[in-house]
Amino acid sequence: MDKILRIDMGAEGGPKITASPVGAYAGLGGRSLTSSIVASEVDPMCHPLGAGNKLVIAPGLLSGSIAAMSGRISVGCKSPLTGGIKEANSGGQPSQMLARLGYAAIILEGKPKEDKLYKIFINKDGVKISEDKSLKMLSNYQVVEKMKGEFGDKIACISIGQAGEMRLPAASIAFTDMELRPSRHAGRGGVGAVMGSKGVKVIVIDDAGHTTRQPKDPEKFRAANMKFIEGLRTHPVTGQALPSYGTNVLTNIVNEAGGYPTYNFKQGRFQGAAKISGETYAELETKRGGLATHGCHSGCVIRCSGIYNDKDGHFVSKQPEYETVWAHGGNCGIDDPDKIAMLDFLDDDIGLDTIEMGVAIGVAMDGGLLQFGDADGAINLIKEVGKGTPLGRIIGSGAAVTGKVFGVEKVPVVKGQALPAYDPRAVQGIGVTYATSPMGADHTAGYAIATNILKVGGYVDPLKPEGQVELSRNLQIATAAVDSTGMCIFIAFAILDQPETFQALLDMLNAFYGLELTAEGVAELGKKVLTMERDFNARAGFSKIHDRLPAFFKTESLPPHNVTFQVKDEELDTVFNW
Amino acid sequence: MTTLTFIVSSEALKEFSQILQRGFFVRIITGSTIEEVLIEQMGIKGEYIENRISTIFLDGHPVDDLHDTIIHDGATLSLSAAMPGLVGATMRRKGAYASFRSAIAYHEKEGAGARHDHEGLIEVKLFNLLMAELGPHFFKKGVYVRPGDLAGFISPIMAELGQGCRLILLDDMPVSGDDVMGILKGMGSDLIQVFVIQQKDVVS
Repeated sequence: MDKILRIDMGAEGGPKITASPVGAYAGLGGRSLTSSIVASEVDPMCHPLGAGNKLVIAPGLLSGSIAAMSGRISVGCKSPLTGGIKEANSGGQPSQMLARLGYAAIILEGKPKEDKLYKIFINKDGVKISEDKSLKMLSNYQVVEKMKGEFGDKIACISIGQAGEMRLPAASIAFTDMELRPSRHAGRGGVGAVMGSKGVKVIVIDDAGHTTRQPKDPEKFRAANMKFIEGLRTHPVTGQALPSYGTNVLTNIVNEAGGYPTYNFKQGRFQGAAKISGETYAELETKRGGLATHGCHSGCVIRCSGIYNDKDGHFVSKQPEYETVWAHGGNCGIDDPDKIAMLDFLDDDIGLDTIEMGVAIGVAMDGGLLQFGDADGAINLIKEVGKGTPLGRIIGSGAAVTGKVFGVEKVPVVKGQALPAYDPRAVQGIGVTYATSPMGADHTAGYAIATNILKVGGYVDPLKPEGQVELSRNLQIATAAVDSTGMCIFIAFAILDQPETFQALLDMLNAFYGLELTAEGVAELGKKVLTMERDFNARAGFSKIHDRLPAFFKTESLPPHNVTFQVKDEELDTVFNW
Repeated sequence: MTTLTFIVSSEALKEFSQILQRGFFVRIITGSTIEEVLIEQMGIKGEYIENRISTIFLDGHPVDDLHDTIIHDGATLSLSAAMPGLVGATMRRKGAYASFRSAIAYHEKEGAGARHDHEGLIEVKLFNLLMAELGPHFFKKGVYVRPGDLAGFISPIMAELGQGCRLILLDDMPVSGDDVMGILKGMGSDLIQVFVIQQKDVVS
């Protein structure tokens, strides 16, 4: 990974390809690389869909190696949804392949002067870009099928569906999984719209002829990787809960805690939760000949995904994630697992962020467009987005726009981005992260990372209400650092409880690059990334008033515990004081 | 009290375990602590509780202290293994991020801790890994459910259950799978006691 591929889509005479050394960006990967490039090369005041914005796609630091869980890929740009800096990441195969081909990042810049649609092919011989009119308004599954026909089935694809081509603010970018299905997505913030604005429909990667990347110290690296894998396999979350049930195992406990946003954040419990829980999905998947345990990329040892089939054993979608099941399920009053799986498939196929779509539909239901619980109505709405009807374009523009169009007061967004699946009135600490993350409301911005091991911040008594701001700060620092390694965020649980597993991760990085990285160094990287991102947002016009939850979280109590969000604005303003 | 006993295959037992996440009732001596109820009354080993049941809710409130938290008549006790996500970690007993949910954490009301030892009924919910691990234990001891809830649960899976059910006993009298739905519908709302036992356990 010693070069950066730049494609100027607006160059005279057609797109211009340049591969150059990583230079000043050496040693960075994933989020730290995407945010560094966006922060230093993109004018914060540019229009997100204009020539001045750049779309950066970057594998993680250990992608392409044999390191377990190293297949995440980050996408960065100025977000058309939030107007601020964005990093969205995804699983799938492209990260490993791109890294093996030696690319630390792909940067799409400029903008075609005409309305043209391109495909990019990258292999050991170089990069080819060509116009392909036949791809126009194809869905993700259709475009991948077409690429298979053209390039064979040993490829990986990065693509947009119709939503990206229409430059809708909820458009995602799809990354193919091990079965060459476009089922993994960089979902948040409208990154697909930016790819659409660059006129790029699909990037096809073929890494034939390249083997895995080699570490500087192979012996130490292999030993650390084995220790890391052992740590993941023996931990009850990464070794048992996630493989057995996937992320949707959270439905029952968040619901039980009264923190499961239901009927557009009106209550914290959903009567039909058990019908759409991870336990129920896993049972259905096994019974119908799908899979309850499945990896999204090669090198994954947690395998939290799955394959969801219909009653007749035909593929419907990958196992829907917790956030998807919540957004399209409880938040919209829908308790039918088959309908939710279909909504998941449609989002993947059209190329949409499932959280943004579920919340937008919930807001539309609140505005009277549909009844809560109307699953077929919800499916039709997503289809409308794919068709590009005026109503579909409104929904595909996300929850904030939908709320304005339908005159809804209760619109759960921060910086224009929909809140994920945990009500901040019940879990107030996560509300701090929702409010203050430079990404907009984001459940992965402050994850359950081992802040104690990273030594960020002092001790916070877990059983006292004080310290939520400190914890959120520490978690955001730690998450920014781990996102920069390109490791799957789900390693968090093992490194939260097992210092030796975190040390194994550091050992892998050090053995691979010949570094002497320490926990403190990782934390410093996290602070550096957050500082860059907040600086970009400040230059884009953001201030502390944007670091707030919508007012209704403070004024409307959430049943069954009847709590409101209590963290004061002045406390929120101290999150990034380090 | 009506009893319904299902002698089933291991596959059908797994299918039945799904009902445990919806909730069932257990008779206990109320006024006892959670620890006493789990260990002494339900027969769950202390080591298992310590290592496996990392997340406990009482009436929807995450609980940190099992030694001092009293279970009252009519309470709902939910048990889960360690869960992913920040919120999963947040809900853990005495977890590093417990302060995140301090607004909803369980706190014993003043004076409510007084012990009144009498028999009562609580609702229990088992989630995720605990469904398979503790399910057979509870099914063997018998769980209480409302006939309507049981009918609602087994109705959509009756065909599969039919294949896995070796014998069904209503108060020790054999009944056919086809009759069960009708029997449940005619029972009213009084709780019935349900046993689900693997065939291999009966044979041995």
